Amino acid sequence: MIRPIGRVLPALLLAAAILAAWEAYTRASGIRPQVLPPPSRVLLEGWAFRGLIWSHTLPTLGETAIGFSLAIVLGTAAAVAIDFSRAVRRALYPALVASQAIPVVAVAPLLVLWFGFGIAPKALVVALVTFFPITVGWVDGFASTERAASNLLRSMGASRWQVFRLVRLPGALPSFFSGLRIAITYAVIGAIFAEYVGAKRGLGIFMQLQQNSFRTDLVIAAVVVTAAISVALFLATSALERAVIPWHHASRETER
Amino acid sequence: MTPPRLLVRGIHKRFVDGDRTIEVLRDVALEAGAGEFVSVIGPSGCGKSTLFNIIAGLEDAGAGAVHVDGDLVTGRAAHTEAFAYMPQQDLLFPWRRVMDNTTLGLEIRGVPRAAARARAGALFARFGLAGFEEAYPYTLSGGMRQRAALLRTVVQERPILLLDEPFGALDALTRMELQEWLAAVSSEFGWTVLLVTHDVREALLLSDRIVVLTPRPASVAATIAVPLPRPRALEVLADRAFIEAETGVLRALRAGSAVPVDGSGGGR
Ligand SMILES: Nc1ncnc2c1ncn2[C@@H]1O[C@H](COP(=O)(O)OP(=O)(O)OP(=O)(O)O)[C@@H](O)[C@H]1O
Ligand SMILES: [Mg+2]
Repeated sequence: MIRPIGRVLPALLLAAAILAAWEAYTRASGIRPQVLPPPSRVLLEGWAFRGLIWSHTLPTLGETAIGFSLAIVLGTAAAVAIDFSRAVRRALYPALVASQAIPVVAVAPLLVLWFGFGIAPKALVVALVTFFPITVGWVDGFASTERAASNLLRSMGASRWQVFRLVRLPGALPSFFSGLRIAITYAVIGAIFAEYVGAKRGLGIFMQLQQNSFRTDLVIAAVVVTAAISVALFLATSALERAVIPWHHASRETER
Repeated sequence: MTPPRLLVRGIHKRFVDGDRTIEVLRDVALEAGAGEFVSVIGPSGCGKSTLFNIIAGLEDAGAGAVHVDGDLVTGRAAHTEAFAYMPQQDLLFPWRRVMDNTTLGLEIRGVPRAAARARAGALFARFGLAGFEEAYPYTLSGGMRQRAALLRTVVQERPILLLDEPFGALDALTRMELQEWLAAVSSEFGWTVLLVTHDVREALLLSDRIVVLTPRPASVAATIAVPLPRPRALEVLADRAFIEAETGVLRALRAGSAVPVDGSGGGR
């Protein structure tokens, strides 16, 4: 699809205006860069330290990828089990909701205590915060199947598994992708949070180190990198969605 | 004497909804010979779709029996195999191309893909869908969607077709076109059809016999024969026998509803 420049222009203009105001304020007020550095400094220093930042970005990306994959596998399995068995639904749903009430602040140090300073506790935190929207996306999607559609398939002699594979599963994909897009925006933050608690490398620990040495400019540079990763992953998820379920967008756009 | 293709006897059905019980069908009976076209007509919400679900084996009846070619099928595993069912909504799946929608029933039965596509493909021209095999359903007009849904139904080659208001959602002009078309193809292929409709003229144009149901709880108010050769074209509307049958159907519909017709509680 061609995205006309006019559609991204307002966002770019707003960002430029904010940056200009920020730059002007820091210069006019003479505020110390340890407190609030101007965006130009963030850019220059961030660029100067790009090698270091990149070496801290890679572990974060790895943790995010592993944790998110884990959440997709577990979330999908849980959703299918919930869809097939009422007993599983009754048993699992309260546990799922409760898992979202767990304060990550409290659990992350425990995970580090149990699994060490390696990649495992970070991936688990990512999985913990992304598992729920993925599962709920699937479950809602499965449940949105019309009764008449299942009836039609049964009239054709379909087994329960065939009804699931041919109607419930494809029909649930739009809802699953909605859940996935919400989940991916939590994923990177989850990894960075876990790194804050205890890590050798990663953007989270990088931010903490720079904060301790009053390099506010580098902290903000790392925040920018984090945001960029989140946006990129979100766009990638949307692109994947368009590739996997082209019929969904096409049929919606004609309805407008 | 050979038994009728379809024989439905003594169907009762009630739904329990919390502490409320809704009696929907009360002793409904009907039959259709091979190659016969029978319409079921009745006020909205009287239980026509429920009756079809029971005949198709998708829903259990409180009492009653469905026989196909003399064999009792109610409650048998083979029940659904006698029927090809077209539900009230077209239910074309948006993620399947038109061809893949129409071969769905064959796919479920395990017919190889190439054979299934060949069988459905042979019907596309007669159903006015040639050239749309690889299109997605959202690109079809309302009339084409209904024809695609009907193609998906008939390609299963089951002995009896159950069509639940196939033209209910269409505009008057398209509906008339499709009625004439269905009149022609159903005689051409010799289908045995049970059709639900609200539309008295549609029933008269298409059917050998019309079963008129009362408001809920539905029972058979009258069965009216239409003594005209099929297929019929719209010109038949002026025929004397047509007008007599129409009067009979309208009378049965009115006699059935002691309360005003729109007080039947159905809503769509
Ligand atoms: N699963 C169900 N549970 C409870 N009540 C139901 C159920 N299915 C249908 N009913 C009720 O049974 C009655 C008959 O419904 P049905 O859909 O068979 O009517 P219909 O004649 O096909 O109506 P329409 O012409 O509007 O399609 C309605 O009052 C409906 O509310
Ligand atoms: Mg109905």
